[in-house]
Amino acid sequence: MKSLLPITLLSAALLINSSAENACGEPPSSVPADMVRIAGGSFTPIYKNKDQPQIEVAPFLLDIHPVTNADFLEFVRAHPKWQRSKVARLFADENYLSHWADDLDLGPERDHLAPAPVTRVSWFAARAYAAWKYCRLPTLAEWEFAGAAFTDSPDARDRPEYNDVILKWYGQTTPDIPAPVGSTFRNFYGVWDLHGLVWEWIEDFNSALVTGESREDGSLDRRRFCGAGALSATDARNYAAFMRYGFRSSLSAADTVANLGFRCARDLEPEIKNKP
Amino acid sequence: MKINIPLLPVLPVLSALLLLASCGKKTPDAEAEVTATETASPAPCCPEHGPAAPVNPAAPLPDTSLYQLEGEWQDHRGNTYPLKNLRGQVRIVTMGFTHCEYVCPRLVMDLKRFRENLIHQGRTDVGYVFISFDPDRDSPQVMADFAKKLAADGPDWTYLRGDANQVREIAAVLGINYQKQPNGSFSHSNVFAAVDREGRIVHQVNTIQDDAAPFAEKLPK
Repeated sequence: MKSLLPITLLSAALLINSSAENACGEPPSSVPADMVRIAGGSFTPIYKNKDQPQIEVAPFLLDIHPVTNADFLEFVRAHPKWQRSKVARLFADENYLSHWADDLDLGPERDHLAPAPVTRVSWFAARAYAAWKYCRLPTLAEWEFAGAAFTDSPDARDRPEYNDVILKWYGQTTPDIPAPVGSTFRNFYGVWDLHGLVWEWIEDFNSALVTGESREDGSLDRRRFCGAGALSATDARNYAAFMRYGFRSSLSAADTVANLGFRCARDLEPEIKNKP
Repeated sequence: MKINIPLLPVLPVLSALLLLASCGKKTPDAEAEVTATETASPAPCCPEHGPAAPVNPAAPLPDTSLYQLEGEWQDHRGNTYPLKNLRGQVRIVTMGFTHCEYVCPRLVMDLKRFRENLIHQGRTDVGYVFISFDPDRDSPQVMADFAKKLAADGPDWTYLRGDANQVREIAAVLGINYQKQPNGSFSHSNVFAAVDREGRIVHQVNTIQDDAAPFAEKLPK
């Protein structure tokens, strides 16, 4: 895929989930070196629910960088069922890791691939990696919360320079090999590359109920959806967020995409949570 | 094997009555109609306790089978088993939750109409599966009560409860989007998926149905 998916702006009904479902493992007793603690807080998502206009994002840990091809190679070495020639088609499509030379070989471009974010991995594969390493993918709320930050501010969504960086990236064609992790910008929380490198999987990518073109008040089509009704986007300036929501809505769990990777998140232990 | 019977006239649509009556409560008329429907249909095939054993449990699952998903599920009869225990029978699957104020009873009613239609065409070998989004509230007993109230609790019905992680995975495989709301309910897309004996999704419809036979010839043997 040479260019980012053309996404048309949808007049969409979306609903936001702020809770993380921790399904596995124990939280670490200290913050791992390759993660940072994000303090969390109140967050006004781009799609507001009028009953709950702000959502609470609990403190959590987030990878400083996206997962690299080198990282992922280590994972599939340890878990052969996730190697390219062995993975079940239910869990990853036929382009899974197609940019590698072989199951356990990055190929002649290995020097460029090793430090670059891994792409062409499905949601299932990303979750399997996360479970192996830290436990889970970030939720939509966590990702958007961390992603609202620019270099010097935790919430730069109103700032033209923040939006310009992202929209400029959306306008570029996808390179054959992404730049190495750590090559875009380090945000206020110390997290790199949330924008400017690859799109990223989230745990609840299938939580958006997008109805498409809607000329009414935004209520859900009751034949297609069962639910409490809709949200409308209130901030039309945040085109970047529209793009991300639209992109995620277009994904299926087994899809692999040339510019879609991921990073890991983790819950905190109560002691770490309460530290300032 | 299909038996050539002309299609009987479509049964009265009960869903409107049941929706008006709200989840779990039935008007006397609706209850009488539902009972009449149940006694009119031939007895379904399947054993009382737990799903039928897979045809060939030793054979590997095809690599697009959703029965490859791991995790233990509880059904409304209190049995616990992995999804692959559903192997060996064609199934129509949907997802909902019993505390639903909107459309979920209609999902079960649609399954009932599909079932009636299939039975009248000689297909008594199909199973009907309702997977819950809501492990916190949909215990086996709650699901059993829900099934009974909707008269959708015969041997060919299965209601399943898994943890939040399992729910996220099965929904992802079935292409169902959903979102837990602050009040504990779930907003979700309405999907019916036909799954073959080996767990492969063979056809899917993405709205509640007026058609009693949306799977028509698409249902595998």
